[in-house]
Amino acid sequence: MSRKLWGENVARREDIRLVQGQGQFTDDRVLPGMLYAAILRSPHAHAKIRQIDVASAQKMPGVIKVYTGSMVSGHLGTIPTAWIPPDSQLKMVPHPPLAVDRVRYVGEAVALVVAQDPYQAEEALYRILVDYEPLPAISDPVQALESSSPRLHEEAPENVALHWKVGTDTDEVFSGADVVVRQTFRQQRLIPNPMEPRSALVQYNSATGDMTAWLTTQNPHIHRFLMSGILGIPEHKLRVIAQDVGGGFGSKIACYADEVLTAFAARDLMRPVKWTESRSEHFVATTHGRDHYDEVELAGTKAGRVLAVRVKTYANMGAYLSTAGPGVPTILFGLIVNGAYDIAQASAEVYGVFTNTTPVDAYRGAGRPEATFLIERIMDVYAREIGMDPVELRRINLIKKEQFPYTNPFGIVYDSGDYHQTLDLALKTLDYASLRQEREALRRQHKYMGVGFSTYVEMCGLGPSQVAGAVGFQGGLWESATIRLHPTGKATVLTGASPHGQGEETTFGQIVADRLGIPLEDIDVVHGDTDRVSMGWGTYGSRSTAVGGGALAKAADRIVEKAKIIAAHMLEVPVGAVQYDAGQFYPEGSRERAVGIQDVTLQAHLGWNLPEGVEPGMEVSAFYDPTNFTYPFGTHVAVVSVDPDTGEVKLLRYLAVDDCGPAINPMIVEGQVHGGVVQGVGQALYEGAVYDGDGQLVSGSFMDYAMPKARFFPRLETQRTETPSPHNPLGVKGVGETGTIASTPAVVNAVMDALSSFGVVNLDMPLTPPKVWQAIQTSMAKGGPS
Amino acid sequence: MIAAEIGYERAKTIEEALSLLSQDVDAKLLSGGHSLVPLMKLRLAQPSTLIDVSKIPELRTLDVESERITIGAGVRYFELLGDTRLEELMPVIAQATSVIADPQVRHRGTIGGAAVHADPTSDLAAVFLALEARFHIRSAAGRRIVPIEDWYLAPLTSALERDEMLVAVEFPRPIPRRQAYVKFSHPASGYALAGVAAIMDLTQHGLVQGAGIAVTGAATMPFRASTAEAWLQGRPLNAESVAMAAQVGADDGTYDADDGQYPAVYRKNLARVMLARALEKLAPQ
Repeated sequence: MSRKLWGENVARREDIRLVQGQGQFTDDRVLPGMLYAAILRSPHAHAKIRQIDVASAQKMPGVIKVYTGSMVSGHLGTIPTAWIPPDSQLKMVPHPPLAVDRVRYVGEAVALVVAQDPYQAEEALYRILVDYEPLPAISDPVQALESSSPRLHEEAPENVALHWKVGTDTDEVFSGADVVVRQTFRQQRLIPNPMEPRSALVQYNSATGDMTAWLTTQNPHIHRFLMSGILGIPEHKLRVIAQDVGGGFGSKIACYADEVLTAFAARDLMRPVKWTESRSEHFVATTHGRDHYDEVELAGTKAGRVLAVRVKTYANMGAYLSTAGPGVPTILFGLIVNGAYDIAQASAEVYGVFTNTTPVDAYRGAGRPEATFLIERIMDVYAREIGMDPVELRRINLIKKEQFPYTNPFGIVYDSGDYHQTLDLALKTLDYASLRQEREALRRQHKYMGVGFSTYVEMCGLGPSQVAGAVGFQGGLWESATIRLHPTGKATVLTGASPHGQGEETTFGQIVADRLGIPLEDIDVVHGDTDRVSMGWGTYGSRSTAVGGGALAKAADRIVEKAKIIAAHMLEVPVGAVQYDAGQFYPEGSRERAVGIQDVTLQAHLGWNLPEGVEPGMEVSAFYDPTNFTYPFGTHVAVVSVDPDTGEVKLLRYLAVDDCGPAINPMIVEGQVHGGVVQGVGQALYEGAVYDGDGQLVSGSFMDYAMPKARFFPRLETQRTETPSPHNPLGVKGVGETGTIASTPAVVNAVMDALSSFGVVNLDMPLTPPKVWQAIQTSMAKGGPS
Repeated sequence: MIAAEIGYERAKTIEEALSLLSQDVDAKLLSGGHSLVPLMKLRLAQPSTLIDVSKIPELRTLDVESERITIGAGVRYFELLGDTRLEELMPVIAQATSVIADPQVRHRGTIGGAAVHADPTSDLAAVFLALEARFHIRSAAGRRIVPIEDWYLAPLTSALERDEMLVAVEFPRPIPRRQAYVKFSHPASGYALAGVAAIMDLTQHGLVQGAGIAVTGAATMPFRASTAEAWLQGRPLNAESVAMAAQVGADDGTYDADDGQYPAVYRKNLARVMLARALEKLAPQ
């Protein structure tokens, strides 16, 4: 089959409407008679609510209605958790959409105002009088486990939300090992901050009982499923639309109280209601990411062979369990703590802890960045302990090409790979030997350069569904695709994936254009509408192309199959004698007699003369469940300089060598890597949510919370190798999260390399100038660099 | 994040603005709005009326031809960057202005706004101090000129009275030829964690003459590094003198601003390092 568009840098088709300001984001929509909602949020991290007085707010100009927790509690379900890891002793705690008698984090919804315009709604918030009785608060997950710490939920008397263990017994290996290294790591809390804050617009038709909800979601069908239960609206009466969504990074997976409340008000008032989060609200009301304390131990030989690794983690869950929250520090983390290395024994033990903080859920990479950080950092600690170059150590321990499919100590089967190839390509691209020489030469001039590596693997492309069930995910992980060829041969392609910046309208178009031999401009890819797309599980976990693309390939093949039968009839030859190539059907050896798929489609729609038993029309749906996750991998290298006078870290070079299988659109792949790397570097050097002792979010705005900025970066260098995955028909692996997963430890390893002569082994992220400077000062006080 | 309801008046002349200001004790002048409007959205400022002075032509004048350089309070940052005469005579203004926030902010924010808002991390604060700016003030009652040493009273508090309006910032001449502004930015806000403006002449023997050196961002208040200026007077500018000047110059600040992430000890070090870097830029190559 000729593949014209596969592998081509086709310009992103979605960008035209976006750059022309014609995107349809939720907040762009205006409906006749629409009202505006605003949410009063708790200013306390922990408090009893004695009384709420809405009388004066209710009298404010334009105010239609003010809702409190007690007014809605009988009419609405609680906000559910949709991931219950098996054997995790998960404590289901009730999460009411509006707090009734107690608030447990700053930002928790306390009251809802609906008014004629957004200014009136916000103004009325200032008139609601809430009588709080503040309670002691706790924001740190380790401290929260102390018996003297405040307790959040009766159902979780020790603040333990879950306790989960996985892996092999490693005690024997550790007690007999020549070398054991231990290190405690802090993986700080991050605030996602997509460009578009969250928003909901809901319309209810009281006559028909139909509700339409425009939402900022990564998974409209999951939202429909969950919200229908919470609201008591039959699923077939609820339509969720998420046409353009301005980024999510995991923060738009969860079903939020705000969305449910907006829907509730729309139904109650029988008027469309819109709610849109401000950036300040986003900081406290949208789920956060990471927030781990990790204790890591590695056992190995003096020659650099890793024998075992074990991890003990305290993961901050926030005040309530978010939709996918419990799966992130367990399933998506614990099962891959051995990383890309052939390690016989490994184990992970995780405490998920309730604290008086914003709930934690998936954030780009979700669990896998945390796991990768630990193994990549402890490898460097080990290398330094035994006096070996970290590259050499990695070379010894990386899983070898001939070991695939490779079963890791947790029973996870890595699909395919040539890990050493990406390492070699990285070393060659960088000229590693001369980099090391340069580093030594600079050191003699009291200048500090460091090189850091991350030879990562991750598991993504979430499905299959059987595994979803086994790991307690309360949903399927297959994907759907429908290809509808219209009489003129134009195609509408419907996918259950819900891209929100990843460019699948383009890549999916490329897949269909190639398989059906139809020009790209004749194909529209539709997503993010539960009435148009029958079912789907959405976009997260780098699954859309691996799983959604798989469904699409399957649907396309079925279209060809049907069209071939009709083409054979048109050509008056047996089906078996028809050849197909790039949209053309022809008798073997007679290409000049070819009929095109678009002509065949017209005949299928006319139905004047179809072969016996063939139904008219040309529409096919496919539901595809992959056989396993996909395992993209690669080598990332950061080269940094550290200014000893200011502690400032500068990224001098960044090289990403990734293998995500064949790239359908290399430009989009590169874009995903760029964005991912920048977010991962953000964690290493800049970002970090800070709560004070009272549970107040100190870093609650862009004045304090440092997002990575373009001026912090050199030109990113990217390279690829291609090892197809046998787990899906396209051979593709996810690439949406690899950059974030790989880059954080690469950068921290580089900084630690630069600081090695000061005897610094580890510093907590983000590696801010004062932190680095202080570490250097401490070393200087002890005699300075070695 | 929506501001409370406010009144709005657009003044066509300085006199009209001052008259409006004298009639309403809760009114505030609006020009670029880049400090005031965010405070209003957070409801940390709730003026009754905004008196828009951005369309008053007198406030937008940039006078670099006459005996002294006088810049209208309503001149926007990007206009300071675009004036070749100014850039030639006072490159330190362009250097400092070019690193304020981002292009969007630089197209709205004004030199007068920077002065009256008196943010202790403002880039221009160091320039005002080093160049000994004088602030031309008017009110319904009359005019006065405040010298820089009387301008900054406390963080976010300048000498401007409630019913007064800053109309221009004046820089006395002659201006030393050697000028530099260096900055270490806060990674989140972009404000100066330490910004240093330094100006001086070198005699034909390479000795420092009439140095003006000031630091913003690092200490509680922007400050003039007077000890460093005095110490450098008549000395050559070399590695040793720079290091000593930076040391004593950093000591001129008071560092009680401790925001946890950037402790005072670090800020003081940063002041010293950036002082040294600014002075190094002025040294003969």
